[in-house]
Amino acid sequence: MHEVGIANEIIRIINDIMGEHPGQKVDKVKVVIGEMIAVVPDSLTFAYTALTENTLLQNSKLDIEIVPLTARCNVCSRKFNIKEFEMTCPYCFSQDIAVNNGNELYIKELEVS
Amino acid sequence: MPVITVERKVLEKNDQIAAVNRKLFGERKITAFNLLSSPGSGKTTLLEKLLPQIKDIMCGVIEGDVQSDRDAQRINSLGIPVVQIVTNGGCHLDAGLVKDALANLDLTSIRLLFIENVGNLVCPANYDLGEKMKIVMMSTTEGDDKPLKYTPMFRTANVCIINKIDLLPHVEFNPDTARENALKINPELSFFSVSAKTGEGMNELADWIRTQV
Repeated sequence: MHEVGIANEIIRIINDIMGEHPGQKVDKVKVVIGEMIAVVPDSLTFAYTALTENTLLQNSKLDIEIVPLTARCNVCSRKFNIKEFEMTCPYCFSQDIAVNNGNELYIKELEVS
Repeated sequence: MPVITVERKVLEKNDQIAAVNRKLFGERKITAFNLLSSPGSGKTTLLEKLLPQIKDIMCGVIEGDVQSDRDAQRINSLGIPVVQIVTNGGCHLDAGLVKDALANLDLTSIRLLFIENVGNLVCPANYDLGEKMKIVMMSTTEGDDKPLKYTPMFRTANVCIINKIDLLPHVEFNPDTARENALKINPELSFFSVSAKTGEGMNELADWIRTQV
């Protein structure tokens, strides 16, 4: 359940930002998470809801965007999706690949009112 | 609806403290390893066997556990400086916990630091502690498909130790399959096969560690 730790950090950053926007209320929190981070969206939402209960964020919703793991082959230069974490180019079978996406873990934006 | 652009890493605070730890290790010329595995793979037993073999290097240990200081007691009985972190339910170490633990170690006399993480192959993968390398361990009583199940951990590790090889005649674990699976995830991974119990393979591991200090 590293989702609890991640939810705590998300809340810390939101509170940090909202300190500079007094009088506004957070409705939606857009979070971008790469497949490689192995976060279970339902668990993260559960943790976020539980941790924000009876706080100023209690009616805010998490909007989680999962970014698929994609890479570019350093040998044949083709781009591809990585399936089941096999770090091999499906075209030329080289293992010399550069992961482009899938390691993200950041808060993109807040919708406020 | 008004939108506030954030674009901030969720684990920014951890990463900032990890950078502070890394700088400290650099200034003090300390090599730090983050030692990771499932519960029961034999991390503490490995250290108990390894540390006396590398007595020529001044070592220190940070022990991470959910409860109890049993592991720290085992290391302390070897006469090695050790600090126990009890996470009280937390499933991983973070950079802040390690920074606090470092304040309780005499760093002037340490060249090599082992940070034994909480036994868990999931959560610790996301938390940089400031270490030079992650060493992931699996044991022959586990499945040889472990790398395929805990991919972020094996992807971010630099070294993989396969422990309990003395049990190979009695278990279904195939070390070649385990290596193949791990290399699919991380082609750069290097391997050591050991039995911390019988000492088999421990000299090779100790020799490699000497090259890292």
